[in-house]
Amino acid sequence: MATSKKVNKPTKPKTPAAANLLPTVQDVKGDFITIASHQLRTPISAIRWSLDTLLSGRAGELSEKQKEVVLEAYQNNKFMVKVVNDLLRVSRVDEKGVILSPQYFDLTKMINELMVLHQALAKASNCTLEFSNPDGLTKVFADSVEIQAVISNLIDNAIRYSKNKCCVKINLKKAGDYLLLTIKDTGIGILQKQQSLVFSKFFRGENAMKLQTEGMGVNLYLAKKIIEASGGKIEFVSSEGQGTCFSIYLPTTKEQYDLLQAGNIKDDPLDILKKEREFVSITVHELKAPLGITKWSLEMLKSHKPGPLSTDQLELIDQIYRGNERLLVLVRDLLNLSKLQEGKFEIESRLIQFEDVVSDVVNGFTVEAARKKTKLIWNKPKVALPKISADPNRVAQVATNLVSNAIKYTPDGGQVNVSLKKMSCQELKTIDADSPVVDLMFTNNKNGYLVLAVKDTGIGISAEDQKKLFTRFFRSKKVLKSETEGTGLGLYITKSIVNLHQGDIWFSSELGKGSTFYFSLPIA
Amino acid sequence: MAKRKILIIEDEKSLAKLIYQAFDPALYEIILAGEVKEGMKKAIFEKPDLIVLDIILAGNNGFRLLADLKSNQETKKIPVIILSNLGQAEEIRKGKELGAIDYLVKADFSIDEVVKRITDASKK
Repeated sequence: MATSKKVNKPTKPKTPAAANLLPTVQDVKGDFITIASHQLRTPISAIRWSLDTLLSGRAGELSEKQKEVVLEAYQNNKFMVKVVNDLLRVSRVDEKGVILSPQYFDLTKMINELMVLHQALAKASNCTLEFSNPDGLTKVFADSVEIQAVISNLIDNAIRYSKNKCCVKINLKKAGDYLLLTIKDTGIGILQKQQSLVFSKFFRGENAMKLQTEGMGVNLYLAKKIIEASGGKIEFVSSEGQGTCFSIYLPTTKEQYDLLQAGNIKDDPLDILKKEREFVSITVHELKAPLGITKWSLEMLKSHKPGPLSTDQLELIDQIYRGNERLLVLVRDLLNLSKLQEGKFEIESRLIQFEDVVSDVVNGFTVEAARKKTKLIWNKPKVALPKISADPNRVAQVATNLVSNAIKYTPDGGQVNVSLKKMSCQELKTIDADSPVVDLMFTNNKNGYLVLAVKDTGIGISAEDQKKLFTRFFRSKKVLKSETEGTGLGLYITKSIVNLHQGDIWFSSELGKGSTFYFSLPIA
Repeated sequence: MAKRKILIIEDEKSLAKLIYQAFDPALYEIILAGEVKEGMKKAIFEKPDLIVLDIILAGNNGFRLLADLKSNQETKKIPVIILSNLGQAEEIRKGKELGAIDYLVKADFSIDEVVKRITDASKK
């Protein structure tokens, strides 16, 4: 009978969250979201630059059809950059609040510059931009960089979310001790029922989404945080189909700013784990579609249907393809991670023959092992072993991760040995007691355990790396250097899966000679 | 004008190659270094007009190399541009404090924009 259980919490890693570092990033900056963003941006920027090179013609001219496909991939790439950047900005603000460096600046000058910047977009949208400043006031005391981003985004929205022939009116006037900036459009407006949500995180207007499918819904959330931290206020009036008018009040003197700061109550920082979960789940959700489209675009180009390709062009496309695959793996791992963290990782256990799962996994690697001239040996037990209660797909996932690592980190011509045997509780306890690096949690199953061992003649793991092997985003310096692909999440996920099955994972390793990874599962 | 010499310290070979190809070989001599030690050595012996530096490098981190470059008599006057995918406000501040003249987040720039920022800076 199949039993399905949801496990609320994955086993906690024994190292604190702060230690979950990529060794080379360690002394640069080390939190999860920073590293995750860096890991995502690396292939994304590589893809962007390869696409740039393709479009530039440096690798050979593209036909119109080819260009169209490449541009499609380019748009998707730009969107992915935006997703990662927006999420990073939001999580920073949620963590540390808005950090401002205010000074006196000329708001009129800034708006005039922004008008110039938005002229092209306005023209393309058949839209006119007007700016009036009847009182002739210009000086405010605020962080010019942050304020510019807020205003720029509001002008951008005003133009974008309008149908044909619109007019955006920007006005600056005095309002008590404040300067009041209004940005009024004749656009689609905000639905009455959604107006209370406009400044909440990840909000997107229903009608706005129809016009503009891209967008994360973080800019207005950030705008409110920035304006309020600046001692100002942001509000709007809107009616559906008629238009929207945003008003921003900004302090005009340092004294006023300081006074307002004193009364400003800082938000409680969002719980770190909650923030990580949010980051991961939204990243995964947002990146899936563009990654899929990019993959299709590349396959289309590679099929030569839109036109023939030169060797240089093919090489670039292969490079982009590999980068995209790397992102897909990363997103898949992040998805697993988010499920583990939210307790949504499902285990569908049933009685299975462990050796059958291993046979399938090992057979799947025959080609890869042959390619690397690695001898892959599976010592299948001669007599049937007792059954275990486990999710066969998950067990296969764990075995796959271990065999794949063994082959990957073993130089060509090496050997990988896979074996499975029964071990008693006492035997496991002895291993636990004898080795300083082994720390087993499950050794009390009355029927004993089945233990899979994957032994390689690979590069081995240094003593320093051994301590961090199962932490998130761990990647050995040595491994990083060899440019082997990987996300650094595989072993962390693998360990979590094994632990969810009431089993353990451990290893023994000698630098330069090889490693053996073991994992135990309780006999039913 | 004599050819400008630019040292690019970047451990991802495919990226280094893409940047390399985007420069006009008639105007620029591009030197590549794949890791920290090689980067320091080439900075001293090749005397480039400008250094482009990645932060997450095999073996060490670019901030430390930047500090070393800026404290070495032979290299301290060479302008450095950071080109990395690490790019939070704190990191950008740190890079500038250590003496980088510019900090570019890779994913935010097209390769032609990157090349333009580098060539503009190398002319100063």
